[in-house]
Amino acid sequence: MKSIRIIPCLDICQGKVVKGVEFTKLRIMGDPIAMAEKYYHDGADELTFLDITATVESRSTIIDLVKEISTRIFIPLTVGGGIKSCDEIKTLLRNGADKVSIGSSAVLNPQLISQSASIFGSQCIVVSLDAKKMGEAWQVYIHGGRINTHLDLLSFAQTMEKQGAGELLINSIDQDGKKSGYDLDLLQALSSKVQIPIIASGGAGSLEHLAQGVLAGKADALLLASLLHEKTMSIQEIKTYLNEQGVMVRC
Amino acid sequence: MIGILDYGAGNLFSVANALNYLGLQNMLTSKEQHFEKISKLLIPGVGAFGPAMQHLQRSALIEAIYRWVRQGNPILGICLGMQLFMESSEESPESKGLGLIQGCCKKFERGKTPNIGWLQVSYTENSTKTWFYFVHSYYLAPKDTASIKALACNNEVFPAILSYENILGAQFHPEKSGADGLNFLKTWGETS
Repeated sequence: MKSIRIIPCLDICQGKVVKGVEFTKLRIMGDPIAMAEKYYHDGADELTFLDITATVESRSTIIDLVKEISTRIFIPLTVGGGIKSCDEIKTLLRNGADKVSIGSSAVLNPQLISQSASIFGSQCIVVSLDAKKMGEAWQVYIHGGRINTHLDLLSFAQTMEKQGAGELLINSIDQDGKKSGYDLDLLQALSSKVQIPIIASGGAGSLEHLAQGVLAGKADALLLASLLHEKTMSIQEIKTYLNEQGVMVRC
Repeated sequence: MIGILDYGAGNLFSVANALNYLGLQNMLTSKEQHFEKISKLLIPGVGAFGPAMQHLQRSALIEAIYRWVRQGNPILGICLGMQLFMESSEESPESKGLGLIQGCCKKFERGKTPNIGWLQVSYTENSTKTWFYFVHSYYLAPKDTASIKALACNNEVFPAILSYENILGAQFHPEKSGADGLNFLKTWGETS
């Protein structure tokens, strides 16, 4: 049986891991290489790096970073943030990234997903979706959750799967940062609609929440940032707890 | 010297990074002449079966690989690199594989594909269990099951490690499987 993956997410700004409290207030959490190595040795199953400024300069910073990290960390590395073209994807993959995470461009230019999946393979294309609940359904937001596309999340997710997305990273805008648990209805609805793996992000504040995301939400992987960066819990604690709850983890 | 076969696809650099980290000398191998400089051949794998075989044909590497294997030299295929050892694959029915191993590659029929993630691999000859990272939609179906050295189970049981004479294959990515993956590469790289 496949293990549930724990994926630390490092938001990168000017070469540092940051936490965005609000868009304008960024708190420096540490050095990305040191943090990545620590998480690797603590048992992280993958690592994700998000370029949160997504400028030309920040892209070259993150390329250098992934290049360096890929020489000493031997688990899958995902890079995201402002990716718009197959050329950019190629550059990232050639410099040590194993997968790319595509957000706004997946909505604005869905062909990017089919093109990149056919060139590089579905396994390296993660589509990142920000969802907000509207009545009984969810809608897709882009540009860091600021713009409502009015697209229905579940049907858009199915479109992405058809276009060739290999995995879906789902972030609930309603739950993000609240530490009150995942939007389990969202995770359940999504996992019943698509066959590709789902990575849950946004909302967990406790070990119980993480287990719920997997057991009730049927998430295949959990993307974690501040819970790990702020040392609320360690990867080992998470894995031990999940294991006790009957969730298969790599140990 | 380990030759990493450069056939246009593949995650050459991840594999090279892992070998460098282990202190195992390596070079990219894209021409027939390169085979004279190497003692082991590694075929990495990311990509699709058909295009990979077409690239090998275009670059006239197939004969060099056959000769390499016939001479009893060590060869390791990773993921798609191992799948190319077979006669064919459901991924690209129009393309013939290398045919070093009898059998074909089949598509998973149950569960989520691609099969992405960590699976525990069980060796057939002892009770060792090891975690490795997998990314694939097709799996090996060799005619001679004695060549299967380890199995993994997602929704279906499938071969994780194949070993036949000088041929070794891994369905997982050892270069992305943490310390256990590095050990796997080290064992192959250091065994003469």
